[in-house]
Amino acid sequence: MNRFASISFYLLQIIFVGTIFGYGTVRYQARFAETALPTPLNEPVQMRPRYDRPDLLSDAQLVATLEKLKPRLRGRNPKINFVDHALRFWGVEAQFTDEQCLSGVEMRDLLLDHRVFQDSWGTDANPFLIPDFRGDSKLLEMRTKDGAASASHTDHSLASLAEVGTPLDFPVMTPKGEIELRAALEYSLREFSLNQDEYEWSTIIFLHYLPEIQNWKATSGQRITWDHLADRLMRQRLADGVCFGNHRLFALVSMLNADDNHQILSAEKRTDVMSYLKDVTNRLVKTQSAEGFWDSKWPGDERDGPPSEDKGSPLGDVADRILATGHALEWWAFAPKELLPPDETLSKAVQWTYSEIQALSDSQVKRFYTFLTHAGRALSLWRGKMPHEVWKERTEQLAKLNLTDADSDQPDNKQFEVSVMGEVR
Amino acid sequence: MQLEIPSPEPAVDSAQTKTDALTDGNTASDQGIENNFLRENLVVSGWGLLGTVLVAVFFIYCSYLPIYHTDIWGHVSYGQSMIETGKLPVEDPYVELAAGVEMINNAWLSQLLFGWLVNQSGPQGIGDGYAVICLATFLAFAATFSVSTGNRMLGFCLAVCTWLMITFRLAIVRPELLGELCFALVLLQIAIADRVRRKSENKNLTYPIWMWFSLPLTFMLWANLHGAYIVGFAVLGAAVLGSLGTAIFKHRSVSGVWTDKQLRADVMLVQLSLLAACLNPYGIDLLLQTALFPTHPNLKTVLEWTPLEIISLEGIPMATSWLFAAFFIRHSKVRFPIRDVILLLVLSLAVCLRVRMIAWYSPVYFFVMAPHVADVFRQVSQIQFVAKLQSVFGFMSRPTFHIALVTGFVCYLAFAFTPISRHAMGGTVRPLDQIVSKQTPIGITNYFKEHPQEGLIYAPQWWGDWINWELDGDVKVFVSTNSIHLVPPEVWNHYMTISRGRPGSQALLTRYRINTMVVSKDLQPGLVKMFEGNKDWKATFSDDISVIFERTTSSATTKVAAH
Repeated sequence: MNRFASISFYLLQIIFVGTIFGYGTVRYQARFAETALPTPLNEPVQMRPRYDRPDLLSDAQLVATLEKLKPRLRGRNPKINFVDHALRFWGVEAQFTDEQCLSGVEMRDLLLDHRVFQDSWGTDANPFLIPDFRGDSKLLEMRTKDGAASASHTDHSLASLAEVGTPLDFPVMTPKGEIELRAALEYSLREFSLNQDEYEWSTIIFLHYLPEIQNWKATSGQRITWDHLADRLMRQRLADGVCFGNHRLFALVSMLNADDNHQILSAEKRTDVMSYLKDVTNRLVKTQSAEGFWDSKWPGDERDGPPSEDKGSPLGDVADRILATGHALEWWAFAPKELLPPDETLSKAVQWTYSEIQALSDSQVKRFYTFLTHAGRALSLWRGKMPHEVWKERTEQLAKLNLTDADSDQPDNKQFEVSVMGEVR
Repeated sequence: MQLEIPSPEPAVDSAQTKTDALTDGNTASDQGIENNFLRENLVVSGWGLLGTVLVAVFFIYCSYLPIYHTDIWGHVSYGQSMIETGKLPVEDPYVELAAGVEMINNAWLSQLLFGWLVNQSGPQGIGDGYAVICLATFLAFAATFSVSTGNRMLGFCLAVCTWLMITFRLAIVRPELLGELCFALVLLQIAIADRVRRKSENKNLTYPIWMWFSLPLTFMLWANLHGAYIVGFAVLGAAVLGSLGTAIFKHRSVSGVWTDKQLRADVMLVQLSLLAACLNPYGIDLLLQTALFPTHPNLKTVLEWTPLEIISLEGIPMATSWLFAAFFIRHSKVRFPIRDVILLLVLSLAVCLRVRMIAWYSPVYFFVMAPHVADVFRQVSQIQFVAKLQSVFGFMSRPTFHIALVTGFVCYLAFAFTPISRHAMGGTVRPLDQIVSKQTPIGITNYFKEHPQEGLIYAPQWWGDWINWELDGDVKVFVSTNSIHLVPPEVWNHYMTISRGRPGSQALLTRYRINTMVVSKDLQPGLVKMFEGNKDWKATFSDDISVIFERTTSSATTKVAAH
């Protein structure tokens, strides 16, 4: 065999093997390798309330409601699910002169600073923040469904932080050092699968940080689109899900809002979502009680039968009603006009909620607090403001009048009633 | 001494004698010459006739074998969808829980064929196609082993053994069957090349010219028909390693190995075949997907992807084959090439890891063992009793024109008695319940035609493809056999939880809003019992093989709010 043929043969081999392995590696990375996570926005998008309806609720009623629902969480062992609900309700900007109350910043620190968490819960408690370092990835898990020092629902705490505008570069102090909040989003994205048990808050997280992303690949290899998420949110029975299914409705409305700005849904899916929510509204109109509330049976009959007879919450009828009614008012506050019920329905629901909250004892407020945060927030949203904005205005007015919180607590303080609360029914 | 006795001289051929008598010994006319030519050349021996009869019976058997009820209908659906849209599916078009999971359809060409067959002839078209593919595959195996052993009868017997060893797999029509045909063609080409090389006086001959084209062509076809073409590369790879080993022994120097012609030829043949396999709609991605496929987490719970157990449908023939291998290798005087050692070890290991690999082990086993079996038979033939026995059956080895005519008639009868003849000879198509297997849930799909379903239903995955095909996706099943590797692992785990009635299954049914359960009486008796005893469900349909449970409306569940 001549030398030239021999060299040619082996050159050919080098080229062949190089090409196959090179191109194969490129294609493997492109199609089969674990894909990079989508690039999120650092600052989460914020949803603003759509309506200001003084005809539904007066300023004074709103202030009275917020007064009742202040986050009196200072002290030992504040339940983490109370803290994240309260943070979502009041926002980071909230400040209180009442010493029992935690400010928005303090609530956020309880969630995102392990040292503050330890100050409240002691060193024996399992940490709420669990850093998870996998290879090059820095992930952050927030302990969930593991007692009072943990969140109550998958992704709930991060969703709450997103809703109050926490940026992804916000420094988080974990038991193993400082890390950015981005690590929590990456953990959520890596753990997410379309058919997981609770996905409502995951959707909220993605809507806040990934509104400009049309689709992404989950760890399982499934490409997640907003259409898929919408289908998932609409799959189950209406009342099946946390808070009688209302969080799914809230997520759907949030999705419509994001779609207004970023066209994340296909035209067909947007129509589906609108029809679905219209149907929900029609059902709510039909099933509203004479007093104005709803309960666990709010959907009425569905294709697979009437609502279940025995599935209320363990806290009793009053809690269930506040839960169902408050949540419905909350998602309606962000819904387009076509999805709203008649004014009469809204008015009855708002006024029932206000009266019921006023009638609650302190111990009931404490027990129902998570439910009440949704109801309180809903009432504020229907006045076109976030609760901390209302509270700030109220505090400023008090300051102008040289009054304090203590004065406002005096039932016979006429000056306060007239100037700040207006005419309280 | 050979089992097959060499043909007698033409002078004593009875057909020739009769021809002479008819022409009265005069000079033959042109027609007479033609007749004589036919009579001299169109001859078949008694063994040939016997083989033809057996093959004819096999063909008839295959033609009437009911179509198995599992994934074939998914392949038909994909094929019909491709024909209709002119596009390859990007995702599973029927299983909505697999939405967003990109699919590489490595059996697209098989599916196109199955879809076309059903479009042309209805479900019977699948039966016809199955019989033809089986026939072609069997003949290819028979030819391969005949070439390997140099003995047609032995080749035929080894082909029968190959088939029997994996008959439970080959009884199912699916793209794998077309892969098996391609595998048989690859082995046939290698067997021919081995024989040509053995008989050639040219010591430099590596492969016949035609094989440089035919082998890559086979791989191109195989890669588009079924994902098991990777096994073909295992065969070629073993040949490369075998040549490398031989070259090392032969040359005992790096430069000698470096320039070994056979080694180079083997390497180049692998490379050409690899390039040919890349000629598919997905390019090199198909190869990557095929290599990665066995690592899919969902396959861990699929029976055919589990490791070998000796006391099983696959374990017993495997153990038997190893015992026979030990016997034949002990007594054979034929050299055991390195290639064959590697092949046998690799395929044995493959079956130990994944039992479904027995479909490829069986042909390789007999391919490797064929020369040894032939040698042992040669030794056995020298025993006086066996030699006597062979002489008794000597008349069977004499080829005649008459037997050829009978053979032709047998072929005609085989054709005429099978459903495929209706294309040429007319006739009616058999009813559906005779064409498909008894386990096909015809009753279920008839029920769903009368009782349309909303939302997802649970059905065992092996019925999912039939339900999808028969109802054209109007009823949405949880998982089908074709989508096992497409649904996310979480969904597959949920399917398994429900299928086995594990704790949490009722909550999952609620999560997926499943109000209708299709349960197999034979394979899921525990699930039947579980739902019969559950007051939230009632049986609304039942037949010999299945039962449908529907959720009673009064007990529809709602999840408790949890804070």
